[in-house]
Amino acid sequence: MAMATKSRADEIPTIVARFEVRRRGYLSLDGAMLDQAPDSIPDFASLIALYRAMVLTRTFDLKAVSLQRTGPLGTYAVSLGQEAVSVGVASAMRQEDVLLPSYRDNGALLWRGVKMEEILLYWGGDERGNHSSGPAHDFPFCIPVGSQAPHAAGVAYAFKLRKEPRVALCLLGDGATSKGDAYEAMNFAGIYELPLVFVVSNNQWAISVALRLQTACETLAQKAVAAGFPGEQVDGNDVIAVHDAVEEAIAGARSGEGPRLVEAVTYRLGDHTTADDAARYRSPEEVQARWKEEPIARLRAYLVSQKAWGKAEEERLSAECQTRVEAAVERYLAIGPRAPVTMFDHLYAKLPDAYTGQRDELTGASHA
Amino acid sequence: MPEVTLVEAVNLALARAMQEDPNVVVFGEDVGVNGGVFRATAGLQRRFGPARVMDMPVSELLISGLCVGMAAQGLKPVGEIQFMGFIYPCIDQLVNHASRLRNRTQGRLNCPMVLRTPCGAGIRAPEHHSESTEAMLAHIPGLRVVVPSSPERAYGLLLAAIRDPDPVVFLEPTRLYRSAKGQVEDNGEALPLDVAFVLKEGRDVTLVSWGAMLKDKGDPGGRRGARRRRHRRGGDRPCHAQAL
Repeated sequence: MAMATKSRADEIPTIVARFEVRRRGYLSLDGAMLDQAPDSIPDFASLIALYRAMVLTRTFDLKAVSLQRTGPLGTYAVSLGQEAVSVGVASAMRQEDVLLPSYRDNGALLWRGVKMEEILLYWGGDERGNHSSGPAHDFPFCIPVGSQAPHAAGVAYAFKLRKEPRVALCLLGDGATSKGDAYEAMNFAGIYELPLVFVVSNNQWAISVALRLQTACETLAQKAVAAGFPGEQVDGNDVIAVHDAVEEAIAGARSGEGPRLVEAVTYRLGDHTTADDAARYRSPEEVQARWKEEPIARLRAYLVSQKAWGKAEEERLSAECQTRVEAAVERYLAIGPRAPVTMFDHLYAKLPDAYTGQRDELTGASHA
Repeated sequence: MPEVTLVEAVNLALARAMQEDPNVVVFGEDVGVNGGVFRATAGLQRRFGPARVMDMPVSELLISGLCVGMAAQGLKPVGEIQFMGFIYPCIDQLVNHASRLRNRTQGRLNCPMVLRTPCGAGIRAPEHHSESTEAMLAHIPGLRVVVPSSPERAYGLLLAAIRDPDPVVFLEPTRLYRSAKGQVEDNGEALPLDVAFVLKEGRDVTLVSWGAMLKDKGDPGGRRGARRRRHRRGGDRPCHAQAL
């Protein structure tokens, strides 16, 4: 039949939406600056501050694992290899912003002022560790995967309602992007243009489940597209890239441009937790290859190449971190156990009568 | 004093709470323009604006999780779940977060939220719209579960729930929404939580009940001559043992 007179595209568009996902990175694997350093890193001093924080985080992490192996600590979530995400994110935040961390974000908590002994106390099974020295409005570690994403949306909504120039920063893992929690929060954040930045620390593994079984998407950044706001991918082992992308996302959110998502591509060099054995599901060759990408050696190579760092500084930093971690461990070990009766102290603002009987039973006090 | 239905009493309490405290925000599916499928939030969006009375996407989990985040930031969120049969996606948020935020931060953060939902059967609603699963919620430490059984108590207990510094699940019996009528003075006075209301003193029998079942039992004093002491448990949980 020869009846077409107008082209189909005039009547019915064949493409109704397009999207692209950009990737940001500055440092090569061997520590060369591939592009000009961004304005968010104005000088070597600011870069060295990030470096020091990453080294402290790793020193702490290794010590925490050994404490678990020898007894004084419970199950601990290892952050080895992901220091650039934690530090890059926290260093881009302001004090008044709110951090909603996942359980592997030690570096972010330390940067925000949480003490090492408080993190140890938490992983030792004591919630007093969450009554921490960081900003009082920050959330504690979230253990049920992704369930802090709706909280972040609530926090950001409060900022928007009160017209406060503050931003909520929600740290998620790759596994969390499979949960409805994350998607429902992103969807809502998009609708109400909330001052909320999601950072997905894509470490390739959700315990034993590889990313390819988590999603068929090419990137996790594009999940933001479905919620109506931009997503970007960064080299998550390049602290400059993480810091720069998150700082830009936060600035946008703060100025009313709405939410953003940053996918930081990294790798979990350690086990999921001290209770996990990653050798059951991934090869030593894979892990070995990924060590070449890890964030600390890469940044050190750059700093050394620029004569901004040397052997003497490295030795001093190493010794300083060891001393600080050991001192924190001493303080942690000196904290006595909680009395069982304190379980009632913060159950409610005012304990209902129904529980006072139970509490008295525990203390041996008689009750009517 | 005007006579109002239970659902009108809920509406009065919400409006009163929003008027007296700018931190109170109300949100749920269809609560804004439509005023809620039972009209519990009728007129609120017009009066207080769409930023404080929000129509939500169909995301029950999010409604409960938003409450936690807002409450930790000092707002007084009142989320609505359209029917109790749809509250189950909120269980993770209620058990893992709302009920224990105060405890797991040792008082650094707290969670003054209310999650309202119509509950119970008796209105010829379909499956999943007639649930009475309050016993499940009542076993979550750190949470309060409140079930009013008259317009007066719906008004006073909802105000108390919103002002309370801890999370409350507020269950509104659908059967009573329009069938229960009472004199409610919109004076902003709350009723106490955590206590059972003694409706009638008696000698021989104690009857304990809550919600729409109160209405079914009729006048507690008049049957078969037994003198019964009858409690209406306004606060379902924690249970008020002393009253019993």
